[in-house]
Amino acid sequence: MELSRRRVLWGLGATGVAAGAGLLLTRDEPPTPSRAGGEWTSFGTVALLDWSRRSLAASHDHAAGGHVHGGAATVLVPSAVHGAWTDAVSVHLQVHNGTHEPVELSPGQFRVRVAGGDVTVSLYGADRAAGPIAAGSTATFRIDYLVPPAGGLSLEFADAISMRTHQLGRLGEGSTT
Amino acid sequence: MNAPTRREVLAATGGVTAIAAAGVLVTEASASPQAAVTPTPGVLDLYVNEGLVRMVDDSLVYMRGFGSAPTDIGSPRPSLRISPQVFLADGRLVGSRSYPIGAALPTEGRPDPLAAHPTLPGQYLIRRRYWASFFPPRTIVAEVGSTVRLRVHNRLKRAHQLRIDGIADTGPIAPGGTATLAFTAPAPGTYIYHDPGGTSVERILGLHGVLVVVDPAQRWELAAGRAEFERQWVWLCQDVDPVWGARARAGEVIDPVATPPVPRYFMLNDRSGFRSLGVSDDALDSRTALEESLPSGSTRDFDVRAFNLGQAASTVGTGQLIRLVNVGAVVHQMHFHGNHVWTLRRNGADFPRLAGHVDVEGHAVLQQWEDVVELDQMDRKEIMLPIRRPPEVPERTWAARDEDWEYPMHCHAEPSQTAAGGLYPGGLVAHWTLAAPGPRVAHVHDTFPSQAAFASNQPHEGSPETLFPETPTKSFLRKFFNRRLVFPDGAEHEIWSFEDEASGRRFPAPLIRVTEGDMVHVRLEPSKRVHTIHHHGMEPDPRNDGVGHTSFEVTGSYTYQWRPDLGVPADPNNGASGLYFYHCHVNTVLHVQMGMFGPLIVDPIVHPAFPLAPGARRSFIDGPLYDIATETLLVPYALDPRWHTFEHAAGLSGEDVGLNRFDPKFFYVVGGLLNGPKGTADVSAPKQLRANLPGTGHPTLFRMLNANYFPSRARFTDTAGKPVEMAELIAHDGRAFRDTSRPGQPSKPVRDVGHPLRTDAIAFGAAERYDVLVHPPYRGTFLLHVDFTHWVTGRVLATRTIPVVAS
Repeated sequence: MELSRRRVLWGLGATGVAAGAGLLLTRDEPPTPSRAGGEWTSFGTVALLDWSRRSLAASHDHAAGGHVHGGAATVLVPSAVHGAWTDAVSVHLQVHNGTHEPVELSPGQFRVRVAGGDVTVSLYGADRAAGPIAAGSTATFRIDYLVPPAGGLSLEFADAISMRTHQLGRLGEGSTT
Repeated sequence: MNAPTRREVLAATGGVTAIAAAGVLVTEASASPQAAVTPTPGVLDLYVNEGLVRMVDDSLVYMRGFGSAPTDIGSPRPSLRISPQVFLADGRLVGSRSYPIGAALPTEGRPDPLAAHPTLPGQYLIRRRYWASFFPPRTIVAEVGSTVRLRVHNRLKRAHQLRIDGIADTGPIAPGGTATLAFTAPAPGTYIYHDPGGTSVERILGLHGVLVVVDPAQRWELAAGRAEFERQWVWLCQDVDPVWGARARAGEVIDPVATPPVPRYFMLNDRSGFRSLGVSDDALDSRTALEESLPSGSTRDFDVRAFNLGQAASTVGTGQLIRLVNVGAVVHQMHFHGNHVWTLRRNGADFPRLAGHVDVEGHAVLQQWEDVVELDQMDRKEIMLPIRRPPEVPERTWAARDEDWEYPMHCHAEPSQTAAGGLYPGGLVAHWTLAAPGPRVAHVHDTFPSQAAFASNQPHEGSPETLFPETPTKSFLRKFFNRRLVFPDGAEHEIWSFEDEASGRRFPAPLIRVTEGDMVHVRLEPSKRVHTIHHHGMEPDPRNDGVGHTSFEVTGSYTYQWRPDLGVPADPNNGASGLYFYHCHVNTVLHVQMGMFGPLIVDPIVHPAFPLAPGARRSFIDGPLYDIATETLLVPYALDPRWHTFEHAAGLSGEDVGLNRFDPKFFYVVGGLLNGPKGTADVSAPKQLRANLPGTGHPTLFRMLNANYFPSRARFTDTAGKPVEMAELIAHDGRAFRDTSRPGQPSKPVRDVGHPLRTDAIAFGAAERYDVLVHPPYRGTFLLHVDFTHWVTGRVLATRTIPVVAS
């Protein structure tokens, strides 16, 4: 199937952000997604608004009844006895869908990267389930991660449309609240 | 938009003809790929779609699938699988999650019994031909006599195809094209429909599903005259490689040989980990998992010699049928806790009950008990889960049972227990439930917001009490240790394992040897962190099964209690003698690889009709005598040195440490003589084996356990490499191979009725065990070669050869 001129133009408009934005190349849509603050993606922007880090060590583990609330998306119940990490990071994110179609977004697309290696970390919890972000709308997420007690951290976003990974910023080193 | 100009070609009217006709099926491109076609009564429309699928860690992975409606890749809800559909013999096509249509639906998937068993306390009479079964998405049920009519719409940019091997095939369907396929439902059984493009590529990317064919006159039987069941299940094993997904998305043509898949997610019926176990916060999804993936039922009397014997009016003594289907990339090893399962057939061929054989791959072809069922890529195996009293539960514990008992099922090719490189147990897992006696009790599970929350917070206790303690007749202590050990090749590796009071810190962990009927206590002292002991193949109550998420992990100490089942001569339903092993079940993928396992042997009781002889023993109650002095343990064990740098809880917090990637660099066969003097080496590994010649004494018994995560194959040859059929398989997973062909009649060992399982090769996947009698044909030296193969490619990674001296 040949691409129409309009589709090609649209593709060129988007590929400045994401060369591999296959979805957008096939759509008859306005050429440029709108954006909010933050990192450009294939569908708009994502931004790290805020983060906090805390030690859960004092609360020990599930058997001791230690839970952590406050600024977190979920009740964090790591098991120190089990050997799980007992520091946590909570991130506050903004996602803007600048296209004219809903975009599927899952909090699992965000991962924490541990500095000094190849290790990234899956989420512990989020205040939103996976689902579509409506066209032209902006949504916020809070996502929690267990993290190692020391070392630098950063946050990244895997754009499932462009298949690019975006660096969203450092989460500081060793600071706790 | 142009109007559609489809030309649909009816492929064929029956099975084989469909294949012959496949070459003419390619149709012109549809000019309306976005729109769903107008449904035609009796025809099932399948759309080859693509989309992003949420994995258990909430990441999105590109996949393809046969969906029920046209969707594009940007769809928030891509249609990549159909809801279950039923082709009835009367010509109707019915969308239904359950079958038989109109049969009673079991609440939460669990059939209720008809009544309490009149003579067996705590057991029940099972309703016969009463309950419907729920099926997972991707299932097509077809009654014998129906015509399966499919219309496949390819909405992608390359040709795709739908094939049921040996039955029907659309041939390549051009982009935008449609092909119609019609074939008469084949013989009752389980079939895979898939896109054979790229050999395995399109199937692994998601273009697969299951066809279940049922005889409408025998809707609760595998086939007419075959095994009857209470209800049935389809378990689809799937493996997902996001890198393949990304490459396919980018338009690459993937060569599965040049770049084999490296699965990062492992699913059963499209779920993994905590979602598969029905403990996610998503109540609807958890309930659906219960209905379509998690067997459950009341305890019943069970005899493997006949699954269709009525016990009383409207009742039958049988279990639940599971259709195991592997559409994934790796060899899976389905391990059941709590009950052994009975394997009935493979790939449409019924296993015999008497005249079995060992196939060219080295698998025993005979109906048999197994606690680990090997499932090769594209394999279909039907097994029966008995749902009977777990045989190693002491009497007082059984009598006090007042809650559901849950037992895990998981793949023992342990990297499949991970997700995103860690998150154990986040992969291909399930469980089955033995219902509490009495009225149904609502069982409330803890639920979890994520796999990381589940993996990082397994239940644990300090030094829990052993309930209903009995006076032990055999007691053992197992303490954790870690140490760098020197292996026979001079390499040093960090090993975690168990020691007892006298063993020293060696590998493998010391033998636990007991006799049927013993009251066994095994005291665990983890010393560091949390550990458990799972006595693999022993089937006690969940509290003594040593699995964290169904009981607890131990920080202080715990004494496991179990009593091996007593054997009865010629009885295939009882007896626990044989080879097992024990291992830690905490972060199992890592801890077993680190060395936390040891052999476990259950000797039979001595029956007057089968006495012992000096220097000889039997491996089961009416089994052959073997020579004690040359009894040998052989354990293939491959080691990935990268893993031996990890911490105790690696991966459990959600970090990707690559536990899905097992890349062994060292290959060993550990073990040795079981009854000889104990060596002083760090690692016991035989350099030479002994085998008695016929006529010089009782034969030698090799006890073979695969502690490797990938399949192994043992081959016997002469020194020139010529195969020698000198191995006789007498038992597997702790159960003797018996003649079970005559209901109600004695089931002698197959060797005693003229059908010994002689072979020169033995295939045994992860955690499988064989008891092997060795019959050298002449005095001299033979060779035992152990091939370590790859779980995806089947390539031989290494071979270790040990001389076998026959004298």
